Amino acid sequence: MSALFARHWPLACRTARLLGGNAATAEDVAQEALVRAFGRLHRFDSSRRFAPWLRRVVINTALNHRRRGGRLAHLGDDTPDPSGRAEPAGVLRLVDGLPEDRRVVVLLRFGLELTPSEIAEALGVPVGTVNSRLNRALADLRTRMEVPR
Amino acid sequence: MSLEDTLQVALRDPEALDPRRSEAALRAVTDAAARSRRRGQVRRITAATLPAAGLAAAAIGLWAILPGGDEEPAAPPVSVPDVRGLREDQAWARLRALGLTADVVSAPSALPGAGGTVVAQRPSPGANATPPGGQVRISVAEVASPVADVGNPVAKRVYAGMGCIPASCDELRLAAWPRRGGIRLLTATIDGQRIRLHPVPGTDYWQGSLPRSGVAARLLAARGTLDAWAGAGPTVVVDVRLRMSLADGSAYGHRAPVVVRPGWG
Repeated sequence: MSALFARHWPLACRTARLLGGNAATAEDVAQEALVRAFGRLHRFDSSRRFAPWLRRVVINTALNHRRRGGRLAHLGDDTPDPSGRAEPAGVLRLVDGLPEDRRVVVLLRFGLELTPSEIAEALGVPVGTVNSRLNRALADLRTRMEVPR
Repeated sequence: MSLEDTLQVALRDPEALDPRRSEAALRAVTDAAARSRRRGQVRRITAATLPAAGLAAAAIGLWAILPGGDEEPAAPPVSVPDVRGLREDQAWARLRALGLTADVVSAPSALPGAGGTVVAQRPSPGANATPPGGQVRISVAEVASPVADVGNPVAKRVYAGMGCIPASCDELRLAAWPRRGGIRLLTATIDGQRIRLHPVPGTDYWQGSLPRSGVAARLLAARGTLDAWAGAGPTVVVDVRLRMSLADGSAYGHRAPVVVRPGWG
């Protein structure tokens, strides 16, 4: 169990941080996702691959958390965020301003370095849809950034 | 630099993980996996079902959760205590102190004043049970109260935003019996464990103890207001607060509205 957790925990946190948009709650979201996944392990179809299935759970949990607005009162811990990360600047702000479906594929493609096939599997959409969203997102970003191809 | 390169640089994630936070998450995940194991339907995840590239997990012998398939040593059995006559939360505390859990069932209240107390248990006091997770079924007498004829008791399965709670919980369900002029909340169910809620004197809240190994938790549910009539009965918005305190002194809380509607299951 510890080995399985150690293997997937860092990536789950990173995924939650990228998609959830809130570094302070990323580990909570990642934990929620892993707990949900491991609590349903008895229903997992072992003929499927485990890592993509888990990745899908983490992604869905992070996106749901972001949609809910993530209202929370974090009590009893006044330690400031050690990363000191400020608001997304430059390209990150532009990415954050993309429509949700395009924002997600950009983050999964360039933040987690997933292939379009892996993204399609994680989101449950066709590969063509992923490529289309990605192309539109990049075109949108280029226009706003005036970045040459 | 191309846009793609710019994005990869911008999305680099240098943040280190908090070891304490990681340990808390591991505990929560282990609890969840143990519950999954007890359900007894887990299949083995073999190396063949994992991605082939770069998997050290296959080399270190990765096992799924099977009965007896993990590395936890077996704990010695304990003697089941006598919790009859105790309030439900007191029974929970007594069992939890021994590493046991309670499976709560409702029972008709035959004796005046017995509402909310444990009237029967199985196994009997003195029997052996094995922690962690050894289960004792307790029958709790229903609190007799008039219930308005507004339809079925309601239970809405929701995720009340438990993301900030460092404990295993993937489902919060409230059961409310609407009645004229307000609602009466009697039970909350978290991960299949029912918690009886008791009114907090001087407030509009109900309170219940959340038995969780190593964690002192309190669930508060506001009385809520009748929002609207919907079909068979009123729609009720209940303010739910869950506060959990860990042994190291840290505390986490979450607050979220939960909509409870009659006829939902």
